[in-house]
Amino acid sequence: MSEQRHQDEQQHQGERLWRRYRERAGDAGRGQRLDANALAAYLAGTAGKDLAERVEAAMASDPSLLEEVIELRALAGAEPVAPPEALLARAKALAAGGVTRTWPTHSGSLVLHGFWRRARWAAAAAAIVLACASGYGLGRETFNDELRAEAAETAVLTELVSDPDLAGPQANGGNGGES
Amino acid sequence: MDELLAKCLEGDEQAWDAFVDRYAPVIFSAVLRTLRGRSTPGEGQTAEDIAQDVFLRLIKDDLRLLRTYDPARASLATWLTIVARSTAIDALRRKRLPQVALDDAPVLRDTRQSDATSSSRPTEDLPRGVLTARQELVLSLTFDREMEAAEIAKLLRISPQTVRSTRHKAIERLRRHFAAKDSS
Repeated sequence: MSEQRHQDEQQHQGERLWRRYRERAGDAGRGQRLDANALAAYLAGTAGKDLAERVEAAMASDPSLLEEVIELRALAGAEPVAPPEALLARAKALAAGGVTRTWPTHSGSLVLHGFWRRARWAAAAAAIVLACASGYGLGRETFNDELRAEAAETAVLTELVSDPDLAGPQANGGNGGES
Repeated sequence: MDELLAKCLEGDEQAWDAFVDRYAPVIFSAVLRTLRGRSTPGEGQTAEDIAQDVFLRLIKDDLRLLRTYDPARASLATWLTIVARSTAIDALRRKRLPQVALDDAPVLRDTRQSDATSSSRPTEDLPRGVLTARQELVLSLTFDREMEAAEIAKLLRISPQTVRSTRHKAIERLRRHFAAKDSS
């Protein structure tokens, strides 16, 4: 009995020391965020020494994290429950129409996003082609006009040069053509 | 990396279907068990919706969340369990489902919160390294959560003897520390 009392006394003393320590330690470590990979490694027993210490320090100071780890241990060891068929169908439907090359979405369904992505690309390509074709057409038209204008001007000048009557007095060496 | 996962990440729709078939039980059961004791009847439908949310989180933005999984750390089932539980907790917070406490639910005693002034006490008089993280944790589980050595051993994946030894050493450290402090 005295041994039991001794053990009880040791236990109480240990608890008193722990409470005193805890009052001084405060909330250091509370609120540390651990990502899913870190937690998974700790649960699986594959965490390195540093990570394990970090997780345990966070657990010691954050009751919500401690609660989370306790619950995750239970969840990870539990038998999986067969899901409803409707869930399987809904989850699979998320990928219909291409899953990995979709735009970021704000809606719940990815079914149509593959189609709209392709439509956007097609519209952009058509706009570019149209712009190029228009530019080419305009360019051709104005280029021909310029050629025609140039040809006409050349014809007039040629005529002027070759016909002395049309060239006027200056062609015969007279004063500047002033009238 | 698991071949099925690799094909999923490449955009293989058939691989995604196989992924759903393989891991839907894990995800659904994690959600269902997380909701138990936290929501009112009718949770069956809610669990299905939340499980669907999990898949949506995994797939959206080009499988961004699923790509963060590190196969070197743990199994995909464990990782998905964590994600599923987190999604369920977030859904509960958003939907503000009534929380029903079970009669046998463990009551968490947080003695720090029982003293409003304790959290404001300075920490500068406690030197670093008085206790290791594990020693702190073992003492916390022993005195704050009143867990037995066997339970602590199971949680931390160590032997009960190691738990007792760690506890003993931690208390010794505290005794020496405070004895020195009190005498100075």
